[in-house]
Amino acid sequence: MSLNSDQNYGALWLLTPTVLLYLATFLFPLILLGVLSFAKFEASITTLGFYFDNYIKIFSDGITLKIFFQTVRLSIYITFWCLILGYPVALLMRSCSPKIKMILLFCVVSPLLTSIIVRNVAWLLILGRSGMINDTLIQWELISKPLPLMYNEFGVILAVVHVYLSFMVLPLFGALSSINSSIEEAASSLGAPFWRVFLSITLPLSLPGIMAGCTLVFILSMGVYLTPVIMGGNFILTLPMLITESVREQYDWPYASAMALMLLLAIGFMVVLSSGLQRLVSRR
Amino acid sequence: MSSVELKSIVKKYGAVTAVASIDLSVESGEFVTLLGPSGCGKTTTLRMVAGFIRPTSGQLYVGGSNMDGVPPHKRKVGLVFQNYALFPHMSVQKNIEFGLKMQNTPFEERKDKIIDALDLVKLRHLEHRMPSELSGGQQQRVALARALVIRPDVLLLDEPFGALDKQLRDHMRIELRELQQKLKISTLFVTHDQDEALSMSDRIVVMSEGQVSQIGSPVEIYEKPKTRFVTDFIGRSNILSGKIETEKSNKTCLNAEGLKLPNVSKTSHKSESILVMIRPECVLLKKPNSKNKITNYKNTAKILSIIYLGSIIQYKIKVNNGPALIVTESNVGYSDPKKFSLGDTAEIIIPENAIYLIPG
Repeated sequence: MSLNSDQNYGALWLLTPTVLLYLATFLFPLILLGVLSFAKFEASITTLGFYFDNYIKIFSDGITLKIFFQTVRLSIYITFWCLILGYPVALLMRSCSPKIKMILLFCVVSPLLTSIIVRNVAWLLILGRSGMINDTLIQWELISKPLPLMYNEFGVILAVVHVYLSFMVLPLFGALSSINSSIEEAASSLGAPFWRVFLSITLPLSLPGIMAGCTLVFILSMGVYLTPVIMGGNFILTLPMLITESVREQYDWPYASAMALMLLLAIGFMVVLSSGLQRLVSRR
Repeated sequence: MSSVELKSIVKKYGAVTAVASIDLSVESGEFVTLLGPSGCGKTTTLRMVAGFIRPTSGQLYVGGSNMDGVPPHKRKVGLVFQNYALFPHMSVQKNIEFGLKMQNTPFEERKDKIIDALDLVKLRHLEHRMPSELSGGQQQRVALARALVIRPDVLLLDEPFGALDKQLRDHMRIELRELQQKLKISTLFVTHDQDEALSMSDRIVVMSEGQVSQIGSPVEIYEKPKTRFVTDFIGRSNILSGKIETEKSNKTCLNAEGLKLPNVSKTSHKSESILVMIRPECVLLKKPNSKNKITNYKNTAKILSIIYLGSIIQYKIKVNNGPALIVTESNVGYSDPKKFSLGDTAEIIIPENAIYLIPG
């Protein structure tokens, strides 16, 4: 190291604004959340203390746990479809010319560049009861009643997959690009047909990208709020919705805090699980 | 029967011609090298044989059958890359086993063949290692074993030693050639390294800008280059433009930019301008006044620079009223190592058989 320690400390001080921001907006609210989750809420009065009431309620009221698992299930579906739809795109991006690669990249990222309201209203116009698809199909007399394309799980999954696809495609593309194509050519020259090359070589070697993409999409899906609200109507309930409702309708901050912590724990568990799996795979 | 045969193979990328009509055959058990600078089309040719690139026109035969429209996995070729291209997620054993599995070889037979292949490259003890735990040379040997274990019709090697250091490269060169001769496997080898080409090949195909410049044995390529390009590319050489002249004694002689040489062309067409090649190692430098009767053509030269290269000493000399030449002398320890110093005058002797006229 050519830097002396004085210079190192000098550089560290530059982090102060970031550190303060994190302390104020992340660590402090998190501590508050923890403290509140053990508080008691009775007759609209919050009593601080060390009560397990909120946690007991989560596990015993029958509905919260159900919605939690529904959120997990929805997130798994979203992750699954992102993977299925994103993998071919990443494969294509890897093998096409730089120009087409840029166009594809733009297409994949474009939902992120669109306002969430605009995006969901657009889906409404396409999937709604008298939206583009239903109108056309009825006009062509292919169906007599409008298809239920939104205000159900299908609509929510479709709209969320649309946005989060980029979080799957980018890590996948990264992992696939790092595979030297001569490795695949070697397999092919050894007598492996293309599907065999894919299954034995490309897929296993892109596993780090799959893991990263799935973890990312799953975490984001667990917390997605506005899209399910718009696309699901009141028919699809997720944990973030329940948390919001608890705060906004009942002013029950302690219960909301407990649910939020539970969501955080579930996500943390997923991160630990996926990084553990990844270590296991790379060691093999 | 030839193992590989290319008949007027052409590869064009739009308006760019990568390979312009190549005719070539690799006979059974033969070691043929495609030699040329980067971008000469040698790798493109190899990849066409492997099936990764489809020729624009022409016929390609591997093991006697036409390869038109045959995908890579249905061709019996063993391919070794410069970057080894081992499967990083499989052990050495699994890497070698892959091709056998694709051929549906039964388990017991597979085991024996893997052991044979590992013995062949002397890596039996590393069977369970992962590629990342091997050195470059070991990885390249695994790649070789993996390609050989499927008993290919032809072994294709794409600059296989490019990523190894010099000592290991020299070692692998010998090892590969021995292995190839032992197995009598037809081999098509791509390299830009002339030492590799000269030391390993039965035949060398020198390529330049998508075309074959010359096909011949290493000796032919080095000593009797047919084109200016081959002369320039292989070894170091002095290339001079020469003219046939008639001397007073009515004998003809060769005047190479002022350097008087015996007429080795056997013709006496005076107007002809010819290219004269003299290999640096063929020129002898003598102290002036030393008595010699080798030739009538006495030329003297001045030493312009001396480069000490260990086993050889390279001089740059300027012939009086003539061209500058590069001359190398082997550094025989017992003779005076400092035979010449800068500015010295030397007598140069060029034996008749060291003068080569480039055709065309």
